Amino acid sequence: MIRTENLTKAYNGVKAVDSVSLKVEKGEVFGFLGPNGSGKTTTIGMIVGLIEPTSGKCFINDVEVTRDPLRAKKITGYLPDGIGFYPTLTAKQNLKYFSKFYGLSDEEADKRIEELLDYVGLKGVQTHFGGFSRGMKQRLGLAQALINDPQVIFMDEPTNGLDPQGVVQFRNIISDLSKKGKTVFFSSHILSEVQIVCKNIGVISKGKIIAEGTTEEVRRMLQKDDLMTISISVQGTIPELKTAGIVEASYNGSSAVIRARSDIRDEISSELYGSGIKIHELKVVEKSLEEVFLNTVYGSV
Amino acid sequence: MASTSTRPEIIVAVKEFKDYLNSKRFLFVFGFLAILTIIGAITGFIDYNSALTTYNSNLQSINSTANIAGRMVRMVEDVPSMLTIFQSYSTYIASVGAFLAICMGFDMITREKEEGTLKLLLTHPVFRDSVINGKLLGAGTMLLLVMASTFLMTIAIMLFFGVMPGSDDLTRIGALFLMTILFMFTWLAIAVTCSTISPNSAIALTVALFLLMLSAVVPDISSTVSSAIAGTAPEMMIPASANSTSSSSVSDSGGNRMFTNGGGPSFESNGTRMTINPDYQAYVSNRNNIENIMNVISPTYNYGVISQVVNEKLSAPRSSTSGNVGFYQQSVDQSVSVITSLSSVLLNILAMLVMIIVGFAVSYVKFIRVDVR
Repeated sequence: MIRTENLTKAYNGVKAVDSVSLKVEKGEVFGFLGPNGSGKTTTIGMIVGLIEPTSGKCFINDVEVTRDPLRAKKITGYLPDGIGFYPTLTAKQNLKYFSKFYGLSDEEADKRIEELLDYVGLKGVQTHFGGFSRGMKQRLGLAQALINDPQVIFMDEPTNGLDPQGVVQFRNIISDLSKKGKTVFFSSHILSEVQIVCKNIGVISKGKIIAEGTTEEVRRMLQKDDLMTISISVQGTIPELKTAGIVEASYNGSSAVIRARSDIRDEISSELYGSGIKIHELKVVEKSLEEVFLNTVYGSV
Repeated sequence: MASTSTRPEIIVAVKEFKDYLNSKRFLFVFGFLAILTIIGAITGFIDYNSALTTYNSNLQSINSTANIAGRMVRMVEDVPSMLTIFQSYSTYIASVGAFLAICMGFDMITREKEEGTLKLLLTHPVFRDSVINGKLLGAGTMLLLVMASTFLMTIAIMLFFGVMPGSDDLTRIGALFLMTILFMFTWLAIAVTCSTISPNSAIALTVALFLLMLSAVVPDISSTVSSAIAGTAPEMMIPASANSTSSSSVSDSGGNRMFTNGGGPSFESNGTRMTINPDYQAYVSNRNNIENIMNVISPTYNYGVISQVVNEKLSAPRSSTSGNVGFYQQSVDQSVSVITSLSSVLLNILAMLVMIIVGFAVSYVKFIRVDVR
């Protein structure tokens, strides 16, 4: 449903987005993860036809956005970060204005707007947009992104600045949209947020995609070394192990932490058993995706 | 989805138009201009009435004494023009009208950027050129209606006081209306350009107001600069003549243009124009050319001279706006056509047209290319 091919955007010769190639299937909730300034918004801007790419292509439902932007926009909804509406208009008036670009009749538009305002919890709100809270603004933003009943919805940091209740409401809405068969492209700099709502994620750093796939695939891709960490705890003092494949080892009384190129727990177990040592615990210690993400993208855990 | 055929430009234009109607700033300035229009029309009518009374009185006096030595001497001014009523209006338009156009355009683009609505708007199926075209269409239509309403107000006041315009007057009112629209669109183009090239509304307004002030002072600056460029003025001399109605000779070593007939040219008693020494004429002509070339960059000056030739039925601008008496003189024969009047200020009209085209072109290109992030 969404496809980018070597999408690149340079400002004054500096690449804000560098050869980004992504593929998001129909009905998928895709998480686009990256720190602030990594190129998330610029990438989305190019896909929704807001920013002209320096090179590369992007397609929505096989429509090339730069060649036929209007056709692409008709099947796309976009909730930008820091959304703004006309401050002197009400929620309904703002939505009515945007609905006119889709050729909806007045009756159709009014019906759709009522449904959407009800859906996002703004039904009956008569206040002008200027008096809206952050949460209300985001909800109205979502309503405008859905005004054309799009097949693909882009959300740029949608939960940014929302209170916990607002965050949960947004997660529920995203799940609901996914169940309705909508493709959701969801960007965030918070991993936990993306992990909860998305099955597949792409990680962008300094304008480049550094990992893409399921959370497990991304964790493996982001892990910088191939070494595996094995934690051992025994009864009594642990002797220095001779098992082949150990790269590093640190001993501390009855416990040890082994670094190996592969899972050598069976070999370690045999050696300890042969030495008559009773094993309390023998396990592989894996870094969480968050640790790997922070270490890779931010450079520290 | 049922499809309606409203073009995106029209959707944007209607929104822009409604925004003006809901804008307190716009309504305030328009209200102020409307009040000034009414005051200007009433004071213009009083001046016209007074000039008409003086004319009638002079006419009666002349009928009894005008035949001197068997010749009719033309000493009375022409019939006062009812377009006098529009003179104050033109002055208000040059200041408050220009300010109104700036108010309408200075944040046309910057406001959308600041409020984040431009980004949102462009994610919907609308081309950028439709957005800018729609905005200009909305603002232009509103400006047209504002100007039409002020003109109609003035005409209504004229009719109320029983002043009936003749066909030539109506033609001139039409010409003045078109020229006023041209002037207002010039300032709208300048304001929109400021809006598209400035990072925010505050800077756009500052730049636009600076240009408005610059436009007002350009005639003064150009006068000084042209004098400096033209150098020292030669002595102006009018050869003495036995049958001249003027003094024997007038010289002007200070470079000021002086005439012997209260600001008008001197005439021999047989009605022919007296000649001034050619080197002085060349100097003045050179100086005026420099001054005029500089002045055309000022929309305020351009509108000033255009409204002058139209309102006063002149064949050429009477004076520069700097207050110096110009070398161009008021036509003795006031029956000049509106075409003749407008032809004499063609350069000023073209200058404003160029400003509009360049201003809108710059805005258009800048808006099409701007990165919305």
